[in-house]
Amino acid sequence: MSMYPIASYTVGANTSNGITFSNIPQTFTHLHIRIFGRSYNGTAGSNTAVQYNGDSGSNYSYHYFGGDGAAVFSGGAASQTSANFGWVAGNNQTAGVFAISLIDILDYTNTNKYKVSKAIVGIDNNGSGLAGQWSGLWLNTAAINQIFVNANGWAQNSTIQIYGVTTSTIGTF
Amino acid sequence: MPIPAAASAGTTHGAIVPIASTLLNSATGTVYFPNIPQIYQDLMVVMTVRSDNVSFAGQVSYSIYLNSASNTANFSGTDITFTPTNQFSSRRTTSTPTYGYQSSGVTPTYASSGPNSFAGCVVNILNYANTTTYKTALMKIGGDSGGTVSSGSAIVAGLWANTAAITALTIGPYGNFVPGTMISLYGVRSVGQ
Repeated sequence: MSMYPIASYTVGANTSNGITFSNIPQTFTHLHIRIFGRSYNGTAGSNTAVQYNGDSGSNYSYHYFGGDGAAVFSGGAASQTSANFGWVAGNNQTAGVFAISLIDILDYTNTNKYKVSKAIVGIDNNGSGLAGQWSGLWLNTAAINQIFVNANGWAQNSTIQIYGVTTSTIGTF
Repeated sequence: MPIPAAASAGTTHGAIVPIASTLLNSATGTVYFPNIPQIYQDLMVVMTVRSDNVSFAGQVSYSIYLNSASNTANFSGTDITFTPTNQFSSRRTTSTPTYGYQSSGVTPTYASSGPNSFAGCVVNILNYANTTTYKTALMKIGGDSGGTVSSGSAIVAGLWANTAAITALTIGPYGNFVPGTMISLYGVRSVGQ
């Protein structure tokens, strides 16, 4: 299994807009996404909402478990207009603090399966924080060729890196 | 953001690049990785680890000191941990900086399990060379010694409240790493790197 970088985006200035990655190559087996994220408008723990292929219908679900430094919790929701890639830091936290989400979307080109994602997520703000895991489902068998992510507005210096993952060691090293 | 059609496995470099690795053949307090290249997007530390610590029934906490072993200020962390019999979440703040960057992974302990049980641990440190943001790391760790109390898994978020680029890592447990512990450091390339 090998991993190859296919897209990189750094937020240059605070924005209320989401980010769309289009023309996603259909040549890999899985996608891996690495988010270093902070919300411009939202508070700590704002969700990273994701939509695929421009679908804004109620075709998503998600669930999660996590800890906030004091308690363990879990939850989920069905018939949502987006799935989630976890949490981001918020504008009520110390400047410079960002969350990490490490996301895997498996078999994203398979047209016989609904699409599922798994995210390991964490953020710490010296005295408060979150750590946990999310999963998200898109109830659609279409191959994923576009990903839209938003976190109630992205803060400057947030970064999103997308990688393709192969099942064999093809390519140039 | 349209992705160029050329972004395929045949035209891009592999993303994960080995930087350094060490396999311990004697009990060791800390492992030091100096002179970390500043050319990657992220760092990833992959460890199979075990401590000789016997004071924390089933828990071994790791510290990752950034840039120098003596630099333990401004570190904090939040974790969620599962054992066969319990689940909990805890945090460490800069009021207890001795523990360094992040901690509270669950691994087999030297005293309570057989000699061959080690924990698997992966730490991702994103944007480590950036000089604008604080540094966040995310650890995944799991250890099993036959379903005993010293088995478990955890996710840990860590913060170093400093905007300096990370140029060195010092990694250590409570007590010492036992022989057989292996720690490897990788760079994670982004597009164009």
